[in-house]
Amino acid sequence: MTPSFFAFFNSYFWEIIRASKADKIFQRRDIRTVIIRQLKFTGAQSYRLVGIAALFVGVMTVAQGTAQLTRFGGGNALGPILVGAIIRELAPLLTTLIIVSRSVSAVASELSSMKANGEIELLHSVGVSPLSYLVVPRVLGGAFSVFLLSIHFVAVALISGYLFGQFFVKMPLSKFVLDILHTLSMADVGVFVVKSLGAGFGIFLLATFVGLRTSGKSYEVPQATTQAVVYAFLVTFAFQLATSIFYYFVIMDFSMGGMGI
Amino acid sequence: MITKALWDLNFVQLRARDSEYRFLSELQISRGEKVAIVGNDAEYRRSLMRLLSGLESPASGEVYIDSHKIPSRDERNPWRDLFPPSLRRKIGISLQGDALISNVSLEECFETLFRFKYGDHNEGLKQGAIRVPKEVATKLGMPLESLKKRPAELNPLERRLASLCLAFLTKPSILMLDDPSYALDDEAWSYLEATISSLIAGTQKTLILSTADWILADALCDRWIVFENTKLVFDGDKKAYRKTFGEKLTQQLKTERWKKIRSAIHELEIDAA
Repeated sequence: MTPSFFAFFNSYFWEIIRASKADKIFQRRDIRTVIIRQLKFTGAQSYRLVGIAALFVGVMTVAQGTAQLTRFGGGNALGPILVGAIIRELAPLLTTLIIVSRSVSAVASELSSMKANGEIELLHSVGVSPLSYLVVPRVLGGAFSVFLLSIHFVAVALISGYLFGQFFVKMPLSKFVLDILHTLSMADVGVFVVKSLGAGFGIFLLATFVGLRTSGKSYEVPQATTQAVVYAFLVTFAFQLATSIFYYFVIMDFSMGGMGI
Repeated sequence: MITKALWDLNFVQLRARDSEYRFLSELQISRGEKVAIVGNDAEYRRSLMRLLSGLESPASGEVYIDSHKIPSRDERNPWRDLFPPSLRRKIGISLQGDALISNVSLEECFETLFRFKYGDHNEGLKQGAIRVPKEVATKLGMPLESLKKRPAELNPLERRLASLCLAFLTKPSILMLDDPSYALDDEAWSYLEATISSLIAGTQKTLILSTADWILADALCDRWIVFENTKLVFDGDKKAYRKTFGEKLTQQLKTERWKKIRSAIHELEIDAA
């Protein structure tokens, strides 16, 4: 990534804001239709895949957590472990990674193909901003899908974790739920929302940018697809890491009176 | 009444894809003119059409369209339209290659683009977005069922008509057609020529036609701008071109007519076989 990439991306971002304002996108039915289509494509069509991943993660987290905790007599600390591992870390990270491999590649290849087929020029020629019509709905729909899928991930992982945990430590459902609710702080919810929504925005913004940045040659379509996926993976890890560092070293540090974690 | 130039180009260097430079010292096109950009230099025609339609800025020089100066493109921001929306609304463009939005039906594509251009803030516009594409398609002789299709499901003539439909959709006062007769068989060519002629005949629409098809240029336009081998060789009334390059033109028209006749004979032979 050269500096010109960032300069290009920066002007892209601000042009999206400008075009959205100029086109009053939220008042347009067509934009809402495309957002719903994107939600369906990214969200509804991925929930099974995310659900299966969440099932395995829930079981593995409980298996690992219980095995370690029972050695130290802390079998009842399952709730806090699940909150920490799944809600704060794994759900936003793994959901984003699944969406990167499934939808980010699709969006980048779709837009670069549209560019190669002259469809982007067509939109320009009729006075429709491709940013308003193509980019904004995909970014909003995609980001919101990541957020909803992350919630779905959490729900499936917690349920599967609880059910699997019954093999090791018998715990009433009410206690499990109360444990989680007791452990879950507003900061946890905030981190979850920021991680899932922020990563969703980031990866789809990047996918649309890489797709539209091509010069319109058909051989660039696979290149753009690969590039978008690689960049999106990097951005996902970097963003999740940065948010976790902020959470543990700033929010937790502050709430614990500067004692650190 | 023609008052002032609609397009005014001064010392313009065009952005061509090959390494050759294309330069125009001066070009004015007035309102209501029917202009054909013809000749064997496809890249010159292409880059000039892109410049005139606001899809590209000049590498150097000044371009005014409807008294609006085309800004030079910010290389980091190629997404912003070079034309103001008020100017864009007046122009209908049929692009080379018949680009259409591929992942929606023609109906949805036309309705969406209509709403984007005019908005849908009142009932009249909402109804117009549904009614107008059907009216334009009917005028062009497109079966209404084909509006339900996606671009990939159309045959070449339907695709070309759909592209023209897009150009005529908003009743533009300026019409730009980029190679509309390209790769059409004889029957489709005749149909297209008759359709475009009927839609522009007797109107005050400004027509810019880029083509390598001298017969179509002859049928639709009065003024010819001729490019050959990276040079502008003629700009003026087609009658003057006939006078100056009469023999050459006759040869060009003969060649094209002969090509058409040969393709017709070939089709007949296939039918007979």
